[in-house]
Formats: sequence, structure tokens, C-alpha cells
Amino acid sequence: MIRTRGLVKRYGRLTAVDGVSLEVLPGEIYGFLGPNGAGKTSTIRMLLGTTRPTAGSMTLFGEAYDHRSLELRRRIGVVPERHPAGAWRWMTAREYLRFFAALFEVPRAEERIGALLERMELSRAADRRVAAFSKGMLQKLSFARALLHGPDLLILDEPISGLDPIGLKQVRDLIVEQNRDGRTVLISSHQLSEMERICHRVGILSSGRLIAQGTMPSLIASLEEDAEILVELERIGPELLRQARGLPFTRSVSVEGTTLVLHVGRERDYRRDVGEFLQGTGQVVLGMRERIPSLEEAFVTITGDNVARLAAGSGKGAAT
Amino acid sequence: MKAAARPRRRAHAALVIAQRLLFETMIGPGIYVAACCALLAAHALVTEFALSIEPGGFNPERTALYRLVYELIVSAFGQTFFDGLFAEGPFVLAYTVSFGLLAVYFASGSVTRLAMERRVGAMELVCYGPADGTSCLLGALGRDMALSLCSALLLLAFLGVLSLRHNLAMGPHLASAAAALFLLAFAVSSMGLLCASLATRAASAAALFTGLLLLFAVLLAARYAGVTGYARTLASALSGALQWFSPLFWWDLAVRMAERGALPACVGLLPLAALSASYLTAAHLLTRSAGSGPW
Repeated sequence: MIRTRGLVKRYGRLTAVDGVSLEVLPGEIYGFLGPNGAGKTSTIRMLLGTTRPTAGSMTLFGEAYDHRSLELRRRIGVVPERHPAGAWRWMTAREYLRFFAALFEVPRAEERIGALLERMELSRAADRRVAAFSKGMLQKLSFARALLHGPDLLILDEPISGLDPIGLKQVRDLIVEQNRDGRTVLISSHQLSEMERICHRVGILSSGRLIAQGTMPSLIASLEEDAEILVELERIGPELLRQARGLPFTRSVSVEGTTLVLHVGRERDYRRDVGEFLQGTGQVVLGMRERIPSLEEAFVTITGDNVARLAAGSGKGAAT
Repeated sequence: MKAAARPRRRAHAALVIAQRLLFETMIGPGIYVAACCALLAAHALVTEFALSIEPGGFNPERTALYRLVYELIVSAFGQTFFDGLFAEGPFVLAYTVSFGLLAVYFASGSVTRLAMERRVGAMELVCYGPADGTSCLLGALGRDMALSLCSALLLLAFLGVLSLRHNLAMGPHLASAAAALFLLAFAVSSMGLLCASLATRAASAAALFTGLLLLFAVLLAARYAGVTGYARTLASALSGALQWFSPLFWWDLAVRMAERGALPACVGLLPLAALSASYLTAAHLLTRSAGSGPW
């Protein structure tokens, strides 16, 4: 769906995007992650054609793409991070959508506008001026605009930042629903827990370089972090701790209240071994669970400690 | 994209943007205030002219307005120019003043709006779709030209009513003046779009546009005015360097050629059209240099 090769964007002496080669597959939700200033928005702006790349190439829908490809842009729906303040504040929501429907030459526009306003729960505000809209309402209006022409690809730049929990859920459901309808979604966000819930694959950008790209499990597997087995017991004595530390598969052991935390390697599932060990010591196990690193931990590790290693290897350390 | 489809896509986007800008203009009070001012100016110039007519002919000394107009024009451009201007009554002056007022209002409105939309990110939102910076420029130009055309028709109709009311004949010079002024408005709008492309803020775009327009007007006046000494040397040097970029210079040339007949008038308008095209090309190249979005 989207393929970039060695995409570079320089602003004077600053290199905002440095040789990004990413691939978004048809029908997937691709999370584009990275700390502030990593080059996410610059990359997205190049994908949208609103900024010219300094170097590199892009393919969209299987066709070579550049900033002049107005026809290809008809197949993309875009939701920017925020709706520009001061833009067409005099327009009503309906007039706003009419303008974009005319721009995209949407057939049966009134019908489509009505359906989208209904879907976004904006029907009652359809004839209110955009100036009176809250942030959440503007975000919904942005989504309605992006979906107006039935795009094949949705590009969402931080679409959930600053939304309340209800708005967040609505937007998340909407993204998943659009993906189920066959739309490919590229989404950039800082909300890692949300990304973990909805994305099929993610790419992590740091200092303008794509340092990791892959499915969630493959990214987490690429980390050298231990898994943790948390066992809730009635009581934990010093003898039990000593014995646990002596187990061949434990790397370290700690105690959190009545929970025994065993740090183990992730080469296999050690829960059965832990269970057998505790049974042997006559302990009553109240509960047991495994905690593996989350996307957030993967993100912090990859963009933090491992940046130099991964960047130097340029993909060696990246999960793909 | 199929390169052949791009101009059609761009033209469609420009049309939609122009319609939106027109709608936005029509729902605001500014255009009605400007139109009232223009009609009042036209009314005052025609009515006062009628009051300045004596059995012996037109006497500007009879009314305060024409005393002032006479002094201004004769001191700047000379008696011959004044006589030529009023040879067919007050309509050429009335039309020039009122249309000029509206054309400058429309062009400055486009300059500030374009720069503002670019700054707040509204233009970027449009350029996410099948539109680019050039579509936005063409849309703004389309809006200016549609408003100028409507203004021209409105003013001509209004002047027609005044001519009937005061029993003053409208001569053929008014038609050629209207055509030349329409093309001048086109050139001024194009220059405004170039200013909006160059500046990053609405205020600086407006200042650049107004400054250039004033400079060109002063240089044109200096060609005719009886300035002497250093002022004349300076005006002459500046004029020599800048007149080629001035829509007013080429408009003045066209007006003077029009005095020799219809064909020279048409030929005289060509450089003005070429200058407008140059402005638009420069603005287009500026927008294209950055990408398809707001440059």
C-alpha cells in the first residue's frame, strides 16, 4: 500500500528524516511511533505530498508517487493532529463537509454528508458554526471529512491526543471499524497502550531513522528484557527466597508484599517449572501470572538504551 | 498521476476554492461597505460634474469637489490630461475611481486571506486532497476576477442610470477604459498573489502588496508630475528600474495607445496580460518549490 525507500528530508542543516524505508501492507493498521521530534510528521507530510522529500522514493497503491500526484491523493483520507484554529470558523459543519465533497467530487454528496454526520453523532450540530465546536467535535468532523470520499488509505496524525476517555473509545472503535471495512490505516501516536490494542504492525522512528518495524510480538521478542512470573502466596519466608534464587532458570528474585517476582528468560514459558518448585516446598499458590514487556516498555527500550546499537546496525537490531 | 488529468484536477479545485472564497466574501459586511463607498464616489463625481456645467460648458470652479479634482489633476498631470479625461463627461474618472477602489479592496482581501489560510494551516487541509498551492492561488484569482466582473457590470449599470438622470452622454472611451481597468485589476490581483506567496504572515503580505502598489502609483505620478531636481532624478532612476514590473506603467501605456484606435489599444494591453502571466508563473514556481502543499 505504502512503500518508501531511503526517504530523506532536510531543513537546512537539520536532517528531520534520515533514510526511512517503511512498508505499510494493504488492510493493516500500521502504528507509526516515535518521541517528539523523531520525524513522524515530516514523514507523513512527505507521504501526503505537501512536502518534497530531499531524497528517496515513494510508492503508493503500487504507483510511483510524488507531490504532483493529485489523482492518487484522492484515495487518501487525512486526519491531522488538530483541526487548524481559525480555519473557516464561519462555516457550519454541513457547509464545511460540502466544500470538501465538492473538492473531491463526491457523488450523492448530501446523502453521504448526512450519513457521516449521523455516524459521527454530529447530526444535531450539523448547522452550527465550526467556531463553536469543542476539540472532540472538531476531531469527529475531521474524521467525517477524511471519510467523505471513501478513501482506500487513512493517514491519522496523532488522532487521539487530548481526547477524553469517551472520545478516545469512539475514535478507537472508528479506526477498527474502518479497517474492518477494508481500509488501510497509518496512524501516528504517542498513546502506546492504544496503539498496542489496535495496530497490527508498528514502526518506531527515532532521530529521523526507522529503528524498528514489525508486528507487536516480534518487536517485543527482539528486546533482551526478562519476563516476570508473579506468584501470589500466603506468606514468603527467607528460606523460600533462598531456594527460589537457587533455581537454574531464575535470573533474580524479588518480593512485592505477598507476591514473589521471579525474573526469567523469555526463551520459554517457565510457569510449569515454577509451579512444580512451589509444590515441592509445600506452598499454597493463590495465583500466578506472567508479565511480558509491553509496547511501552519496548518503545522506551528501543528509543532509549538501544538507539545507538540499533541505529549503528541500521536494522540489524530491528524486528521486521 | 496521469499528467493529462492534473490540469483538469487543478482547475476543478481552483473553481471549488473560488466558490468558497466568493461565498465567504458575500456573507461578510466588507464587500457591501466597499461597494457603497464605490457607488457613493461614482455618484458624487457624476452629480457634482452635472452641477459644474454652465451655459458655456464644464467649469470645475463651480463645485468644491471639482475645484479639488481640478487642482490635483492639473498640478500632477497638466491641463491637457484634464481636458482629455473630461472630454466625454465625468464617467471615465468616476468609473476609474470607483472600480479602482473595489479592485484594490478585492486584491488586498485575497492577499491577506491567502497568507492567513496558509499560516493557520487551513490551506494544508485543502492540499491533503486533490488540490495544491497553485489551485489555491488560481482559486483566489478566480474570486477576484468574478468580483471585479460583477463590480464592473454594477458600476456601468449605475453610471448608466446616472447618465440618464443627469442627461449626460456616456462616450466610447468608457468601454475601452473599463476593458483596460479590468485587465489592470487582473494584473494587480496576480501581483497580490505573488506577494502572498512570498510573505509568511498576513500582515507582511498586505504590507508588501500595499507598499508595491503605492510605489508603482508614485512612480507613475512622477512621470507626469512637474517634479524637478533631485526628486525627478530619483524618480527617473527608480522608474527606469522598476517600471517593467509595474502593472500601472503598462496600463498607462495601453491607455495612451488606446487614443490611437482600437487595434493599438488591443496591442497595448498585451504587455499587461504578459506581466500578469509572469506574476502568476512566479507564484506558481514558488508554491511548487516546496511541494504541493502550502509552500
